[in-house]
Amino acid sequence: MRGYRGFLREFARTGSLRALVLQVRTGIAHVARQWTGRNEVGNPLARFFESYGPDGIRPASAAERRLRLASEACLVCGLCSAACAEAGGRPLLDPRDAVIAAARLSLDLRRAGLEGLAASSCAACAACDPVCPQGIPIHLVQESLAARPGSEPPQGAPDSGAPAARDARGPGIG
Amino acid sequence: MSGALVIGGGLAGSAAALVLAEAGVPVRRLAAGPGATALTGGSIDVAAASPGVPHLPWRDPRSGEALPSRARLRILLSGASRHPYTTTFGAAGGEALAAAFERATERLAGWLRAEGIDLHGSLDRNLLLPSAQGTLRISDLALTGVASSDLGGCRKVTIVDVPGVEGWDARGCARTLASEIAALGLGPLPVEVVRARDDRFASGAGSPARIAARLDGAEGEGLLKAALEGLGGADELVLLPQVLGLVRTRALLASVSQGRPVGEALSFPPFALAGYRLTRALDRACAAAGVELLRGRAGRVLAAEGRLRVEPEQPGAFEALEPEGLVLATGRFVGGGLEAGPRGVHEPLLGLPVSDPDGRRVDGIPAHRSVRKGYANPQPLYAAGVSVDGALRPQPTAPAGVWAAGEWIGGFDPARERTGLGVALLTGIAAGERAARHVLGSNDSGQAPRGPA
Ligand SMILES: Cc1cc2nc3c(=O)[nH]c(=O)nc-3n(C[C@H](O)[C@H](O)[C@H](O)COP(=O)(O)OP(=O)(O)OC[C@H]3O[C@@H](n4cnc5c(N)ncnc54)[C@H](O)[C@@H]3O)c2cc1C
Ligand code: SF4
Ligand code: SF4
Repeated sequence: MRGYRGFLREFARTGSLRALVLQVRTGIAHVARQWTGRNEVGNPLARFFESYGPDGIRPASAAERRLRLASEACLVCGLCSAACAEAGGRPLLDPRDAVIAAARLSLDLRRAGLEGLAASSCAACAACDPVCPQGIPIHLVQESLAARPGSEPPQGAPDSGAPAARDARGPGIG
Repeated sequence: MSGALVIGGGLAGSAAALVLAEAGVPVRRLAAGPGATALTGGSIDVAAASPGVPHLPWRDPRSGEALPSRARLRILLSGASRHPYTTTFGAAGGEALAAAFERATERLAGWLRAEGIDLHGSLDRNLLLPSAQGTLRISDLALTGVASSDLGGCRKVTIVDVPGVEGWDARGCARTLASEIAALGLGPLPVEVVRARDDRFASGAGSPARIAARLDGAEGEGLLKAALEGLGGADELVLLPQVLGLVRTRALLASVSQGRPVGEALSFPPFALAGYRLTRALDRACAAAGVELLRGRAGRVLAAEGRLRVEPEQPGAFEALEPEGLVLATGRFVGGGLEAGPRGVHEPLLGLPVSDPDGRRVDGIPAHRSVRKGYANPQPLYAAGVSVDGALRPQPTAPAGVWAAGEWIGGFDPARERTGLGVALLTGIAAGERAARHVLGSNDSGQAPRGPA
């Protein structure tokens, strides 16, 4: 249960429901595997897939790990959300939530209720990047989430992505 | 490069750059990012009252009479000896400091007005500003949006409940606000929660930033008007989360107010938009005044043969700059003017000593070793920074032609003493003026300086 208090504290800090849901999902998967004692045998990678695969968790690539490391510096200040909204971006996952998710999770996005992220994801306009006090390459984080398995558009779904033109952001920060 | 360079894109750096540009000095402003200024919640604290600091009360403990910031400025000068107010105005006294602030706030108001933000308040009256958590902040100056939620002279507070807005719990806010009002003896001042009749303005948007962007748009104004229909009345405040636009706040407020005060609650990251608006407005004001805005992180400042040289942190990120005058307004740990790392706490650009408010060196020591136990204890690191002399020159040794501004200067804790943006404004303007005199003086023999665009 200690882990869950951590998640709740995180929620109190970030106020992001979506991030909370994502975190609780991984947490449940982890605790469940611990209880069922399914992580004792086999080679490490096979063990990993056997234990966590069914819950959509998978090992991160080197690029993802780098982005995760960068994302851990997030102050949850929300400036990227404001810059994104101002630029007219409408990503399925708010840039702040994307960074929170990338900092902590490595999961199959179908399991996180984020199927279709690739289709309705951000326009990669990078209006969010220059406002980040921590210099996190946020649009790359978005891109890497959208490239994960399970983020492909569901069959027949309309493309709801709203490309935010680079020049739509006007003068200002950055 | 001739002319001046300002490093820092917060209030201190922007104010210095604007002063330099208005004095006719060619000026560039280099910033790695937006800094702590972009995280602020809507008040410009010159000498706000602080519950954590008994010697900065909002009213006289004996007579019960309200104490305005003008009085708190005098108290600050008589106490904290390393506070930048004391360093710069200790000899001149409280009245001179207050007068300097009156000039400074007039300039800031002028810069912001043109960009759609007004600065409200004065040093002679406390503003009572409710936060999104329901606590009351007693300050002196506030920006469009938050300023109109001042409880002074207000007869009733209506908190608008908008389901689904992140970070906005109208009921929790009302409960805390009612007890704060009772504790401060402000009553009778009823607080009620009313569900917005029409919440289309917020539906499905979630984060305050997205709602604000929607309200900036063409239909936004109509949606907000519909939502606030029938709420509040004369002297009856309608309190909202920070959603009143990212750029059109003043126009939106004017159109939806209709004879009653409508205001935003002071907020904290990630739900605060006031600091974002402030930073954007300062950027636009700088650009309009002819300041050249550069992005990038400086790595170090060198001085050889009387020339200053600013090199990028990443080699090749920008060409090394050689300004005649340099204002450093790099902030602290959020801005990047101070760093804590394997080398302990340090100041990266000049390698200057960093001291706590008692004057003890904290640089070279791992950050955790300087932390005091207990939440309520003052934290030395929250008040740490470089030292300056009365003319804002970094001490003990900095090359000629360098001035310091803002939070980078140590000796005060912006969260406890609540003078954060006040120090940034006062020292930013003063450092800009000194740098301008220096550059214009050293230019006397050379070409005439370029005027602001
Ligand atoms: C969450 C929070 C809320 C706050 N709320 C309030 C409030 O409501 N009212 C109030 O009065 N005060 C508030 N404060 C305090 C206030 O924000 C600060 O005291 C003030 O903004 C400091 O301004 P500054 O310009 O000195 O520094 P900053 O705003 O931090 O600016 C520093 C700048 O320097 C740049 N920089 C740093 N190093 C380099 C480098 N090497 N190269 C290039 N650029 C560099 C940064 O990118 C940044 O642009 C708050 C602080 C925080 C953290
Ligand atoms: S890249 Fe553009 S659309 Fe994507 S999150 Fe950043 S600002 Fe929003
Ligand atoms: S701007 Fe950067 S630090 Fe702030 S919430 Fe976004 S990713 Fe995190």
